[in-house]
Amino acid sequence: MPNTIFVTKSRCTGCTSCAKACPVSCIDMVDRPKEPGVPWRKLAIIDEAKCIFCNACVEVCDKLAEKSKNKNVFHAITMVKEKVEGKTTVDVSLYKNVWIYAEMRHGKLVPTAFELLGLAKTLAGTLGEKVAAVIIGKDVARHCDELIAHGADIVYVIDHPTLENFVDELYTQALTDLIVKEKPNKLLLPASTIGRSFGSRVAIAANTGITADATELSIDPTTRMLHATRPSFGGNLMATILCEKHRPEMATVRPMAFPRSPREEGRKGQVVSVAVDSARWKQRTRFVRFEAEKGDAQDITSAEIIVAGGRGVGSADGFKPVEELAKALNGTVASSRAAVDAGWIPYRTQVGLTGRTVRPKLYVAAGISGQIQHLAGMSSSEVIVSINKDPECPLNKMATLSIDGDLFEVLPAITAEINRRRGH
Amino acid sequence: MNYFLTEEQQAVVETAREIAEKKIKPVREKHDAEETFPWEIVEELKKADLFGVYFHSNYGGLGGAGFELVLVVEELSKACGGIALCLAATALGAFPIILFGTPEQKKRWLPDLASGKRLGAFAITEPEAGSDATATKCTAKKDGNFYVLNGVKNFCSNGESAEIYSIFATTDPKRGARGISCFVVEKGTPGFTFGKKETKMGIRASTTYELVFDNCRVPAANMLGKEGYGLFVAQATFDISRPGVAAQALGIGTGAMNEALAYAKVRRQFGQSVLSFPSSQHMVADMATSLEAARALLYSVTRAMDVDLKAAVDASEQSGKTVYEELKRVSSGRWTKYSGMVKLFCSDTSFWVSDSAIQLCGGIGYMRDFPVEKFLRDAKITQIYEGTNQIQRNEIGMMITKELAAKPA
Amino acid sequence: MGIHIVVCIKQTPATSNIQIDPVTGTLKREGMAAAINPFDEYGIEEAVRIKERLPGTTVSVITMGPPQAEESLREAIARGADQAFHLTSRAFAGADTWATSYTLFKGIQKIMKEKGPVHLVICGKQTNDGDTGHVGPGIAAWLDWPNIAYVKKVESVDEKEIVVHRMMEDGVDVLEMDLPAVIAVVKEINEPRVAGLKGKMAAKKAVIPKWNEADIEADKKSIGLGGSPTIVSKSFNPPPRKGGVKIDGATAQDKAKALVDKLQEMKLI
Repeated sequence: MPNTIFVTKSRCTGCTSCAKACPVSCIDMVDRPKEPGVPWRKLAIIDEAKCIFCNACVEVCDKLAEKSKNKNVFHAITMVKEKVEGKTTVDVSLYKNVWIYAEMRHGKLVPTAFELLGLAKTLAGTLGEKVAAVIIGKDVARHCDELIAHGADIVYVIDHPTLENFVDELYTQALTDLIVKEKPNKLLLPASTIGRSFGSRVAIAANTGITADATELSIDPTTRMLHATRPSFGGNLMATILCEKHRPEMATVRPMAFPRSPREEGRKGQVVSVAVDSARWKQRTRFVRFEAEKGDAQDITSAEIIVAGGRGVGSADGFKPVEELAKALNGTVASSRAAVDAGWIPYRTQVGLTGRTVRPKLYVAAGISGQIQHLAGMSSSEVIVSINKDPECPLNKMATLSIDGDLFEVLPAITAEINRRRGH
Repeated sequence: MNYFLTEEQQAVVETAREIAEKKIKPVREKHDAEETFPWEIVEELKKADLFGVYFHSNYGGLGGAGFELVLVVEELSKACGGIALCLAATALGAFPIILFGTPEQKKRWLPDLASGKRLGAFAITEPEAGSDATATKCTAKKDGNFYVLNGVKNFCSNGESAEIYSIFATTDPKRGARGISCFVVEKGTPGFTFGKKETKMGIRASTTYELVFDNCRVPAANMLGKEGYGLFVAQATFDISRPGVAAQALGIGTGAMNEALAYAKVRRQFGQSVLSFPSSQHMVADMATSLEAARALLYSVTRAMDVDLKAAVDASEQSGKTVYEELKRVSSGRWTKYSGMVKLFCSDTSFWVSDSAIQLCGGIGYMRDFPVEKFLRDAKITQIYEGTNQIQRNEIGMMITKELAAKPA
Repeated sequence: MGIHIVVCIKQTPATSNIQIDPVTGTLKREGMAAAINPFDEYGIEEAVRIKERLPGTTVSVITMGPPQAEESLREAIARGADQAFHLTSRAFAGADTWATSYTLFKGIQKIMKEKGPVHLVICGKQTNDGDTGHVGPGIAAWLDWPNIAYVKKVESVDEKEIVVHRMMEDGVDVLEMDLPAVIAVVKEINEPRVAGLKGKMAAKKAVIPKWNEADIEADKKSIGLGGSPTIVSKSFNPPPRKGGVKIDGATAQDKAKALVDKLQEMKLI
């Protein structure tokens, strides 16, 4: 029997809550045929062909039932999920330890590894298991001490000249072989270009499930399963994903979503040098060269203080007060999509769903209204300051500190005030 | 208002509208300010097959006629009348070939014009010969299988950008109006160069050039129609091309009104939206009414003309005779009066509507970084080119007088 | 010669219409139109551009989705694709990225069986509803073909090899890859064209085969919700971040002073 979902007509009040909760907009509110004694005018209809059976509507409706005094309404949606038979399940007890993939990017260890190690320590603590890091590349053993100091109990080193630069197929084969041999329980990768590229390929090759771009992760102490929560629809809907019958449970984790694990001097760990059988590898992709981003551009994803300008700055020249404040704060300049699309500032500065995710200590937004796509990229900043002419704009409403006013007056005033206090 | 477009015509409108909105609007200010030719838009129009809407399918066209051209030009002009001209001026250059081309001539030039691979242009005006084309000084002297062109044409729209030019020159200066002939001259022909690039009040995204002919040898096979028939070629071309100018004008007027409405709706003064004042609403009522009247006239005239034009084009593809010959057979008479009327009415309407649009916006409407004042500058040319509106009135008046004279008392 | 390209697309809610309900702070779903996933538009455009520079190339599009997703396939034909294939069945519903990439893989195999070899599969970087970016690499894993994601430029392509630029956080990687292969493209790769008139006419007339799980010989245990290793255990709207303090002041200078006081208090300056 396929999955089924339906609305019990007599319990539906036509309140539209389910339609608003549905992530795939498969619920339509239709006019209700008139019936004596029924005051409701609308009725929810669910298009089963579009439904992803995520349960969002059921939860909303059930919550309303809990609150409602009238016990005859709400609790109107019934979902019956298909029973899956015969799908091979693995013996989960054979799988041990929480692994992280320590990303090497153009010869450098990416510090996201320390965020993943911090997270892995928490998860492994609940499970009573160990934390292991996997590092792949050429001459990468030199990073083992650093990974151990930040929380790895074991470091698997896959070192080979052909692995100098990231190539999807080779890295997939190297990591999959190790997974099959060592059977990790959980595997976390950074949701970076590299992690997102080959994470899903590894999942297919290792016959397991993967959650993309998780921002909250925890272990259910009873089932010992990984609960990976991720935003979808640009952060409008959070979904918690489980992988019940396959191991390792994999997730890519959004950079800057977790604090870095602190360095512990003298921490001990085991280094495992993984023997590779490169003759088996299919080498159908060849790395030609790397062209580094030109200029003194600082990577906004690692900035602690960011001053961002949006549509409100009006022009490329309009970024001047933004740059000056960033300089006064020792911060970095960023932007919203509107400013990038208008050609005022390069794409690499773009924060948001189609740009970078940032998590600075201080995020100053100037002339950014705060479209949901932008919020998706910066809402986990510690302190948010928003300066906007429109006091009703979403960013001013959600900011830690908001100022209603013209950025061209306010920003120079802030810059002047900071410089004055510093005695300039 | 529902004009009962066919499915294909609806697709033409939607495609042109999408290009206007997505591709033209973001670049119109830049091309206007810098007076640059919109080559990137030419590429978009090519990919979208819009150059071919009024060509017969034998040349890779969509098989439409004047009405399809009008629909495209109107939609593009709603965003920018200057950019729309790259397509509209190509049509003006193509019409002499469509009407008077032999099967060989049509095969030579129409496929590239229909695909947009090469743009077209039309040059009749000279420093001494504006409204009075009989004063043409540019000469074409026969030399064996060639004509040797000497002289200057000016104010040529699409000049330098286009590659296929319909040029008017006198083959017999003694015969005046009857001494003018029409030639197709391709860019790159030795002796054919470009002189001054004009800087203009409006339609600044269109190149306007002086064409210089210095002992330019053009094969006799490039002559359209017979020697001395040039003015027939020009007049027959204008009869079917003037709706194109009218469509440009109508698009400009509509675009101006749309921009003004969008602004007037959000602009608040004395605690209410500017649009809600009766004085504004009366202006808007007059603007919208006149534009709709212009559209109704333009559409009905073009559709009526197309009945004959399409029949003639189809017949010409069968018979091998020129479209002009077939047109004389199927048509009851010339379209000069009605095509003059649409050009006159649409362009005058466009100008005052664009003017009112600025007025409705107030101060901001006068500013260069607000997109309304440009519509007025662009609208002005539609009252001038392809026959000034004074010439249109002359012709309409003359045709009416002739009709009266022909009627038995 | 030329090559055969398959572009994988998905019909998703049009994001341009995303609006937030001012009262509840949640997404307004009413009247949200469905369209081709914006990232897939770049995939279609790139395939058509390859077709334009490599004569004899054929562009196929494939989607997995409900019956109404056929509109997106017709739109792809209007934008220059030659043929389209629709994987549609109730059994496909609720698939995660694992089961989706398996289903598309079986669909591509069916295309190869019926239309001959496929040289290149192009996917969008990710969808705007799921945002995973997993399906492209997943398809490559199933096909056992090499793949490159985050492609921002196709430098060259012929029957044997493709050279691409991959957008990295710190610059650009240039890679060569043997065909057949899979690439996933980012929006920087091109500017999609407006669908042309001839394409629109062809789209109206196109006959689009509809294939179900039996047609593509899919393992029933690997498709749809049941075949998905991951399940959504719960979905919820994120709690709105609480608004903070509004800084008032008579002049910009007063506001600036008050703000800098606060920032100093928080030790941010």
